[in-house]
Amino acid sequence: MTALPATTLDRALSRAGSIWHPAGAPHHLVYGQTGAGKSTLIKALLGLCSCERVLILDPKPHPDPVWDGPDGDPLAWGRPVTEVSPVLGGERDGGGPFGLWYRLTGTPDRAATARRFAAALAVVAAEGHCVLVLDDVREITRQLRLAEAVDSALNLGRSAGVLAILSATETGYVAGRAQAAQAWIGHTSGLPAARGGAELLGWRGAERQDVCAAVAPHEWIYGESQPGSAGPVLVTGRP
Amino acid sequence: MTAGPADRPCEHCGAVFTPRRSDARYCGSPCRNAAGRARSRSDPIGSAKRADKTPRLITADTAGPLTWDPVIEPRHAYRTAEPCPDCGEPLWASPRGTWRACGPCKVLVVPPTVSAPYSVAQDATQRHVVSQRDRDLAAIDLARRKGIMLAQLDQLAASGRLHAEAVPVAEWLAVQVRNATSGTRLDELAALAADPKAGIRPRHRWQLAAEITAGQDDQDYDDQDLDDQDYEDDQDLDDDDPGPPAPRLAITAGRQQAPTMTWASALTANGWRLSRLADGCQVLDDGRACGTETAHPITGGLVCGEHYAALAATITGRTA
Repeated sequence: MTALPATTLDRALSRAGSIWHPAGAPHHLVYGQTGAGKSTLIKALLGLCSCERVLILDPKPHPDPVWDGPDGDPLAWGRPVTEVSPVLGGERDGGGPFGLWYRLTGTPDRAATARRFAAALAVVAAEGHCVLVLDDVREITRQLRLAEAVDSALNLGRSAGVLAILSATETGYVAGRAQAAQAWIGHTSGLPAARGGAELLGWRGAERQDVCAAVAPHEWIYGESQPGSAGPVLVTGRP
Repeated sequence: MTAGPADRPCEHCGAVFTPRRSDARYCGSPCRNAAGRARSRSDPIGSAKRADKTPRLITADTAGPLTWDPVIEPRHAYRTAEPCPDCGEPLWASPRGTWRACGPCKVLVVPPTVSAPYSVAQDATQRHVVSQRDRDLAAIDLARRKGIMLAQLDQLAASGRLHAEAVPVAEWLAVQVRNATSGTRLDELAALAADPKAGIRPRHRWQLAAEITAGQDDQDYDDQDLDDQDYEDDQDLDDDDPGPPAPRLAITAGRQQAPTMTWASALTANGWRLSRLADGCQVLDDGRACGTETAHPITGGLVCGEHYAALAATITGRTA
């Protein structure tokens, strides 16, 4: 197998942190199958957001333990909320290092979840200035039918300071995938999934699909096109 | 043989040849065919050779420093032009620009553009929060306006006062009103109905004044007038005379009231906010939660009777 230029996750995060800004590359797309390490990578990216306002949209019908904080700090990955109040973070009553992180969770009532998520996206679109984490963006855009709201929020990246981390297990029906200036392609199964990952990097051809298909869990092909880009690189290691 | 100014080397064999076309690349068909056979099937246009951003197919062990190594400038907090609300000093923005901090005051500050959508003095260019309740109220208002316009059109059609040529126009307008999805579209249709070019005109020219008044007043048509007139005049029905110039039957756009004030805007107007963490009344006044026992839900939280009455007065005062 041919290999890409390799680097460590810390070095890749340093590069991502230097270009991650509304005026630069505002949106990340993290693509990989279940168990590829998407949530772990999102947490690593949130390490670049210690003093930022963060809203995590977790649409799963049941609480995902991956977002539970350690025993001594249960709000380390955001305060779970059921609705987003105006001027989110104004009282610094959330979680995270500075009380600015919030996590909107789903419930088994999908209609109610869709309404709450739509209201949250409307608040983000109106207020701007937020790091929006869409954990499983396909669930939000397809099952909850919020593709337009997601697109509207992402369109405000430069003008209103909305930055996003989109996590997806599929490439179809994923709103905002074309707007992600930074792509992280992780472990996938099957040729169609590998082809989807290669296309997200702007690659074509069977050889490059094979490169994407060979990515192991917790490894990533990181691609961005900002000035000084090294092209897609293979990122290994954990934070 | 001496190469002329137009001669060029063949891209396959390198032999110099004199092209017969300005864009010729090969000296002949054999070279063109050979070059085609040698072209990569997975990269037929040669993008891998041209693009700088294609992956360098080297092993991880031999990988040298990346172009963004060893120097990667981290993004730091940066100074903005926004003044601190307390000391007036310029605020500092977080590295991603989502929050603000004041150095002298050593406090985190809400960016002005975050709280701006809730300010009372909104202008048309400013973003504002549209809640589900706002969307529901807008849908109700649209349905009400459609009902008014459809009733007007139905009454016009049933009254028999429309010219024969205007009846299908009125039917078409009714379909458009039913399918309208925005108030703007209703405004357009109302304007169209009033436009003489649309062709909605009365059966008799002396009906003109009454029709227009009926439409603008948004009232039921006075059928008494119909009973007093002779509408069995077949001669008039078959009259080729198009009638008076530009007779109009106005259809109102169904507007009756200004947009209502919301609970959120009423809270802002009173200088209050809601704290989801407070027990009882969740109104925050000067940073202090009311906390009084309550059973008055509003959008976004609970308030006590006193605050509820004040908010309701604000809302009704705006809409009165």
